[in-house]
Parts: sequence; C-alpha cells; structure tokens
Amino acid sequence: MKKFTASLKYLILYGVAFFISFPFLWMVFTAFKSLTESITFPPRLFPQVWHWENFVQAWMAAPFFRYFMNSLMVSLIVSVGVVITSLLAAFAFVFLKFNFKKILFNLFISTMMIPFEAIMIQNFMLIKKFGWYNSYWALIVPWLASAFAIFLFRQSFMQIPKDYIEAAELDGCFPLELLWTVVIPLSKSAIATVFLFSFLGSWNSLLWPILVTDNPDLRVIQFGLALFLEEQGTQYPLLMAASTLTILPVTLLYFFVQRQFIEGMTGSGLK
Amino acid sequence: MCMIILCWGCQSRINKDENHILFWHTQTRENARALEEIVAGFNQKQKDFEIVAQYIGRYDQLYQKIIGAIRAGDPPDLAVAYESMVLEFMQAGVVAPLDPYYDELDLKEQGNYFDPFIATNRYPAYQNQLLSFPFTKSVLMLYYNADLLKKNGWDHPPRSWNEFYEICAAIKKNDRIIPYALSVDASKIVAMIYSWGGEVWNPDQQRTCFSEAAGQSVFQFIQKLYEEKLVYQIRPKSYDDQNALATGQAAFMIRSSTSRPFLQQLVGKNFELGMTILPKNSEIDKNTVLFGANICIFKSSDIRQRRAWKFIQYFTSSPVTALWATKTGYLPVKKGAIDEPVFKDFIKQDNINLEALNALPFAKAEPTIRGWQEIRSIIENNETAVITGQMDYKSAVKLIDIESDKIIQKQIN
Repeated sequence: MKKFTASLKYLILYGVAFFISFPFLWMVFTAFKSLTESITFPPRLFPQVWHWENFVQAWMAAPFFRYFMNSLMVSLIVSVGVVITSLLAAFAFVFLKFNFKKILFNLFISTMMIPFEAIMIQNFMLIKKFGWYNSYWALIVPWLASAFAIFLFRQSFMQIPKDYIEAAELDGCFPLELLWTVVIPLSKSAIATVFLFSFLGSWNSLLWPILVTDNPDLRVIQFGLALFLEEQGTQYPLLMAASTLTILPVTLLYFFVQRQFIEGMTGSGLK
Repeated sequence: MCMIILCWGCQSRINKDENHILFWHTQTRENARALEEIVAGFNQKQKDFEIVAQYIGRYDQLYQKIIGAIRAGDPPDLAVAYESMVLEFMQAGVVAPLDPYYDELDLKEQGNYFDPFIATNRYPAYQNQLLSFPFTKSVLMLYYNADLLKKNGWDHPPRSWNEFYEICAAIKKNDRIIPYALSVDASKIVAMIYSWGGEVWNPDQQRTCFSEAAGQSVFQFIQKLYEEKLVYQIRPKSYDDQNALATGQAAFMIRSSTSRPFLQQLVGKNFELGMTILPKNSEIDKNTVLFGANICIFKSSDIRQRRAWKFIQYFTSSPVTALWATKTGYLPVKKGAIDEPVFKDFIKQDNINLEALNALPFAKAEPTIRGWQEIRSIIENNETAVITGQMDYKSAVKLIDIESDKIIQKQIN
C-alpha cells in the first residue's frame, strides 16, 4: 500500500511537471518543424522530419550574436545595479534611523502602482534631453533602481534576528560594514531572487529598447525575435528556434540559482 | 570600467543632418529585404543625400515611438502610418501637407496613380489635404479552399452573399466543419456594408449609418451564420483563420490581399487556394475596402521635406512600385506598373496575382475622419457581441451609431 501511494505521488508529480513544462517542450519541438507542420491539425508534438536548418536560418535572419551580446550586457549591468541600489536603500529603510522613513518607503512602494506606459513618453523625453538617445545609457540607467527589489530586500532584512545586528553593533561595526559582513551573507537567497527577476525583466524588454534606440548596433534579442512576426503571419518554426536559442542563458542562470531563488521567494513571504 | 568604455563607444552613429533622411517603417524579413534593396538603389542613384530606413517594430510600437519623438521635438523625416495615425499626428501639427509637391507633378503623372490610393490619403478633417501617400496598399479579399468547394458542387467562388451562405451550409452538412473562420475586424464589416450597397459614413450629416438597411442586413447575415453554426470567431489578433483554412478546418476567410504569399506557403500543395473579390448582394460598383498603410512626411526644413518627397516619388515610380508589388504581394500604386516587364512576368507566373489588382476598381477606403479608430473598436465590440450570441443585430447596429455619435460630437467640440 505504501509503495502504491508513493508511486501515485510520483505519477501525479510527473504529470504536473509535464503539464507545466509542456509549453517549453512545444517550443523546442516546433523549432524543428516545417512551417506547414507547425500548424497541422490535429497538432503533433514531435516533428515528422527534423529541420535542424531552422536554427541556422533563425540565427542568420538577423545579427543575433550582436543582439544576444547587447541583451546579455545590458541585463547583467542592470541586474547588478539593481541589487546594489536596492540593497543600500533597503538597508537604510530597515536599519537606519532618519526622519520620514515610513513616508519615504511608502512613496517608493507607491511607484510600483504607476504603469510603465504612463511614464514611458516622459522618460523617453528625459533620455532625449540627457543626450542618451541611441546609447547603452538609455537602455541601462533608467532601470538601475527598482521599488520592488527594495521591498523584497526589506522584507528579507526584517527577518534577520535582531541579536545578530546588535552583536555586530556592539563590536563596533559601521553601517556599511554591517551590511557587508552580516546582512548580505544572510540574504543571499533574496539577492539571487532580485538578480534573477531583474535579469528576466531586462532580457524580456522590447518596447523601451525600441523607443530609445534606432541604431542597429544597439538592438536587443527581443527585437530580433519580433522580426519573425510578419504582417501576414508568424514564422513559428523560426520564431521557436530563435526563442530556444535565446532562452538558453536565462535557463542556465536559473539552474545555477534555483535553490537560492526558491528560498528567496519563500523567505520574503512572496508567492 | 570596460562596460562603461563600451557604453561610450557605442553612441549613435547615425547623424540626423540634411544628408541623412530618416525613414521609420514596420517591414520585416523578405519585405524588409525588398525595401532595403529599393532604398540602396535610390541612394546609389543620387549622391546628394542618403535615406536611412529603420525597422521600428510593429505598428503600435512605431506609433508610440513617433508620439514620443514628436513630444521630444525630434520626429523622423518619413514614417509609415495608417490614416488614423496621421490624424493623431496632425493634432500636434507636425505632418507636412504633400499637396505642394503633388501639384508640381504634371497631370499625366498624377493620373498615373490609382485614384483610390490618392483619395484615401486626403483628409476631410483637414480641408481634404493630401497628408500621406500610398505605401503598402492592398484590398480585402475572400480566400477559399477551391477543392472543398468543388467537392460540394461549386466550381466557382460565391458571387453573392446568398451563394456564400449556400456553400457554407453545404460544407457544414457534408464535411462537418464550421466553414467560415472569422477574425473580428471593423474593415470587414465596412467592406460587407459596401458590398450590400450601403455606406458607413454620412458626410453631410456627420454621422455613421450602421443602422440603415445595408448595415442591418450585414449584421443580420452574421447573426444567421452564427445561429446556424456556419461561422466561428478566432482569437483576436491571431492568424488562426489562416491556419484553419490552410489545414482544411475552414473553407473561407477574409483578409488583405497581401496575405496570399504567406498563406500559399502554409497551404503548400495540399489543395488549390483561391482568392477572389468579396461577394456582393446587388449590382453595385464598390464591394471591398482598401487596406494598407501610407507614408507621411514630418515637418522640418524645406530641403529635408523635398528630399523625403524625392524618395517617395522614386518609391512610387512605375518600375519600383512594380518591383515592390512582385516581391511583397502589395499592390502597385501606379497604373504604369502593369506594363513593367517584372510585373508582367509576375502575372504570367500565376494568374491569381492579378485578382487583387482586378478588385482595386471596386475598392473604397474607410472614412478618414477623426475618431474613426475609436469607432472601429465599437464596431468590433458589437460584432463580437452578435457573433457570440450576446446581442441581436438590431441592438448592435443601433448601439454602434449611438456610441459613434458620442465620439464624433467629442471630436467636433
């Protein structure tokens, strides 16, 4: 009976895992299909003939290496930047004493409620005024601070036992020393989560890069993917081939930080 | 540090000066390659200045970028735009009227353009000025699975909506599929109303006329198709109708004539794909709508505007517009293109390539009035309501006119 229950449990888990990963599998297998086969009815998961050349065609359809490197660089800088600025801001909100702390924090958090579309044009005009149009600055700087990341770090910092902080203060730790030696080592999961979220956000962004650049050398990976959406229809196999190639780094990144990511999500009280 | 150096190193290399005319467009893949070839040909032909063509994304992204650029006081020289977009840009007063340039052309040259293409770029809301010029034009066509029709005893496509209904009913009965895959789109409703001999806009009374006889008949017809399960609505903004037709899950769909090359790729040799003008229910001279985007010039210095116009003239010259049509499936904008060898070869390859051009004399533009984009949404919402059985056709057409009137009044005030 025990064996049966365990088998059933695994069966259900495998079923759920397959269900969740189905879109991913669909993407990978569609990448190998012909255009006609990609829309066949009833749909088939596996291709009849494996079109490996789709990957070559997709890669050659645009300067994907350039786009890939641009996205990678922008996403890495943005993610590191967000982690640094948010760590400092959250540290101040939790461990430092200053006037209007609560009001300021609420003000920060309230910015999360303003949709990007509402401030997009104003931000664009600002970028133009700064002379950053068509530069990496425009792709990076506006995203170096994140209210959500500050909130997430704050929640995480508040769970650090006060004894640790008091002990460090008794030992004569300066605030930044406290952050470096006590808070950061205890917040690795939250840092990994913020890093991953920021990386994903930056990697997936399309509208902002389109707005602030028109130099082909500054285009990002999502721009390359959009090229497969033709006015008359979508080249699904090529789009899926390009998507498969482009999600590789994000997937690899996730495999490396998945433990910290899950801990960070559960530790900060987010679901 | 390396990153910062890299950042500085990759500042814009495109200077916006009088020698570089910036052109924002939405073309991708083969169409983009054709456009690049044309632009390269133009840049080689004359050395005074250079056209810099840039793909900016889909129409909504292009629109947002242009709005941002307008507010920042730095729009491009040329951009692709639908009539509704041009009307929006005009509210900021940034679109250069093209009449002074167009009027410089001799009458023979003016007459060489297909009339409907020029007519659709004149804007009654702005004293009928020519504010844009035809770029990627097409007409709305009926696509069908010719083999399936033949199997059901029809050796020709439907010529009237009654025939369309009869064929749908036969296919439903014999092949057990819902024959008409419909993507809800205001243009299709407008086309159907034209094909019923009606109008959608009364310029004298400044109001829409969906609740008049033709509008009522169209919505009643759609309701009948829905009730008899002869039509189904596809996911909005998707290409599911193309997929359904290509895989034999539907017998009909209505889309722009430019869909044909891509659709033919999907169909392959599985069956004979047909494309024809929309059916009509009375002896009328217009039974489809003009589709497609235009190109507009933004106000700048006289020399820049002239240079932008020079490119438009080149792009719409008979040999170039013929080449563009053969490579993309869009319609040539000049009559002279038909006599170009490249276009003659194109027709020789497959006679179906001529169908869209043959439909052009029967095509009419949608109204170019302020607020039309919002009215389109109202039409689509009410069409969805009818096709999903949430509303009867009489209420739908009445509601369209009432809601449209509010929008028009808002625009007038």
